[in-house]
Amino acid sequence: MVIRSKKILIEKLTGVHSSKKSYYVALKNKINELLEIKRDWEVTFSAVTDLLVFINQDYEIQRVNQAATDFFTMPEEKVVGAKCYQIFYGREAKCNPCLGDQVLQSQKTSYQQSRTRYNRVLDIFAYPAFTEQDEPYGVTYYAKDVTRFVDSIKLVSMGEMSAGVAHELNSPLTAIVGNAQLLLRESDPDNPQHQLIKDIHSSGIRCQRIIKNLLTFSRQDEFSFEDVNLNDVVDSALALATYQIEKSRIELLVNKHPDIPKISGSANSLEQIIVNLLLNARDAVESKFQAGGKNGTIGQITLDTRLHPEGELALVEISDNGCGIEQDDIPQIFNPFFTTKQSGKGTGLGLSVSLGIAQAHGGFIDVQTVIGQGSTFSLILPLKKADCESEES
Amino acid sequence: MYTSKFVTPEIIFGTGSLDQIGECCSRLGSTKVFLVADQGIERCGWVDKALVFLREASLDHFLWSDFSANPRDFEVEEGCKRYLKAGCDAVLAIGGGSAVDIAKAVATLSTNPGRIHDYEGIDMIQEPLPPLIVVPSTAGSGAEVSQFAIISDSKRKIKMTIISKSLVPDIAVSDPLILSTVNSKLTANTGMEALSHAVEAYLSLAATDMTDIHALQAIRLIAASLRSSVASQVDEAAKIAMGQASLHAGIAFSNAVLGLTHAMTHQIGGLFDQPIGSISAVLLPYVMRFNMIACIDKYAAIAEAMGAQTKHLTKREAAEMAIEMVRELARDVGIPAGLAELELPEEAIPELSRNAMNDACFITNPRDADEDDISNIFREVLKTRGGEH
Ligand SMILES: Nc1ncnc2c1ncn2[C@@H]1O[C@H](COP(=O)(O)OP(=O)(O)O)[C@@H](O)[C@H]1O
Ligand SMILES: [Mg+2]
Repeated sequence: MVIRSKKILIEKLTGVHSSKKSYYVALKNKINELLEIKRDWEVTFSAVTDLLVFINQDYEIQRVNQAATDFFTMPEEKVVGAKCYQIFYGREAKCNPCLGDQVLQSQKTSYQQSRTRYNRVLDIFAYPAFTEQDEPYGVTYYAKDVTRFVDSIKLVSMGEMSAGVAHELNSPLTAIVGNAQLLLRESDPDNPQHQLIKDIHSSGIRCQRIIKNLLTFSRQDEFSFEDVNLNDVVDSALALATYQIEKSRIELLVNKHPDIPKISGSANSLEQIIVNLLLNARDAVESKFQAGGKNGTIGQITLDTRLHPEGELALVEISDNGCGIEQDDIPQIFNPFFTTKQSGKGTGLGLSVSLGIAQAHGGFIDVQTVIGQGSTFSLILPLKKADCESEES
Repeated sequence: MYTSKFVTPEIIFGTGSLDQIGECCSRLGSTKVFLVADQGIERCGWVDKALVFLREASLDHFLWSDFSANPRDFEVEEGCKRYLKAGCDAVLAIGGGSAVDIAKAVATLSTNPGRIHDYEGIDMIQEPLPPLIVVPSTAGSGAEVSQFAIISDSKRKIKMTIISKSLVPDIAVSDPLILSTVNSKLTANTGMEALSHAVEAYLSLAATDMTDIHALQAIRLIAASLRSSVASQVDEAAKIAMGQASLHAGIAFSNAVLGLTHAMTHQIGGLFDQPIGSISAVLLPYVMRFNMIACIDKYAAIAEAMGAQTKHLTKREAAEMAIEMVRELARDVGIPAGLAELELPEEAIPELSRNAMNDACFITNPRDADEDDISNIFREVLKTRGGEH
């Protein structure tokens, strides 16, 4: 017994059962610990339903969460490494002003609301990231998609207002148009007053058209959905618009993807969007060529239908080589009553109504434009009708 | 037969080998070295030399020499604070046993939480230490190769022994040139300390063939060269021999542990704030006499290693001869014969003896001893005056 315990004591003392603590073990434990932390963060990161995007000082996206890749409908590999202005706004050059610069310079958190690609409105909070030496080295964007919120406020108030206006204006207008018609029938076309009455009549008709638009706008939820062949919708829209376009001596090119699956929607409403976009394109081309830019080139509008390579989306793309849109105007063109056209020509309702319809279909309208060179408007619609937000609201 | 283990650090030995330290540190991955050097070594200009070599290896450094000859717990904590604040990633100690001990303790606290007291005892260190490189400046402590560190507990007024394989330095760089700036008294004390390490390791219950080779070689070298090393600061051959002897003794006792001499030495040492010369050297012959019957053969081997002709002697006579030769060597280099001058009261002896029995070194003593046995040895040493050889 004594011998045994002595043996144990001595072996303990000479360290038979202990070794120099190795950094390999410590390192391995540390790595595992860090991996666990990393995993926790990644889980948290991807659980956040708002967009998280981290960019470096060269505006290159370094990290994104799932919500962000979903939002941009692009895989992570495509987003990471791309410039933020490209991904957020589809721009080729840095934004002016640039939220990231602002944050890096002031080293303070900043906020802005902006309309991004696919015509979505984001509330963007930007936070500077610092190195241990307190030098800024990047910016974290935390962005909330508030499109639905912003647009639905607008839509709701617009809807209410327009319904009210329509109601108020409809009966006096019926009187004006009806009476003007009566007078027209009775007046002698050679009488100088005849032309005045004609003007009253046609202006009244125009007002009624505006009101009809307004009512469509406020009643988007009343579409009846059916299986629609998008190419057929395009054909009937072209039947309405081709004459208008060719009358202005503008070349119209149409390329239809041969097999676009059916989508679920309202053929009449979708047709209305395409007509709107075509007529806007015509206006844009006309305004450019009237301004004297003719030399050699001719006005041209192209319509393509295609399938989106990634999402299950169908596209109707309408490109023109018209005047293009001022950078400052882009965020506003979808606003009701925004128009750059001379009074009498534009109502400013076309795009806003079109967007409302597109959204009611779970889709959206994307714009790409270069001032002086032309614009492309894309109507993008989901092939299988996804849960559609506008329907519920 | 016990299961045994044998550990040494990498050892670099050679005249002028101090120039290796920069390379050693960077090889172990360091960029900023925490240089622990005692004030004596700084005064002799070795720190300036060392800094040149660190700079040559493009290493940053932080120099710390703010500790006493009997390193204390709070000094360890202060050192650790400096280490962390300076952002160092390796510890380089240049100095005697105390500098090396405190460097080990600082390295321990730099990666292990709590106070140094938490690591007292055997194998308490859990986290690996930063790279530890040691350059001994005296030939004796053996701390450059050992798995021990001794730190004073300032409250309890005792010496804490920390034993851990993690305290074995990564690299020991032994440069005999550095020994040439040590004065004769320190040379004598540390040289005799090395002898006490070698003898006790050789007699230890945990001794093995591997440790015996080193212990006997240390005894041989010390017996042959300590006198000339004490006699002259510039005897290069003696310095080389003592530098080697210190390594051998250190390797032997780090692996075989010690015995009653050191169990008793630690008790007396704990009573004083300042180092009081080589107590172990004074105690050694007294304890050797007590232990003799446990291993007469080994005593004869010690006598032979020390240069005695034992052919015509009985085992017993040769063993007696070993004790006499240790006494003679101690006398020649000026080690006192006893400790009467410390004037320790008789009443203190029983407690000192009991504490000695609890000391880790007592476990490996070759002869069993009870409180009375130890008290008798204490009494004998304490009544003998220093000059009574
Ligand atoms: N293809 C286009 N090219 C240039 N600008 C366009 C184009 N389409 C629309 N826009 C701009 O968007 C504005 C809003 O269009 P819309 O809502 O259809 O109203 P409207 O056509 O009545 O002006 C237009 O006034 C014009 O400035
Ligand atoms: Mg329009």
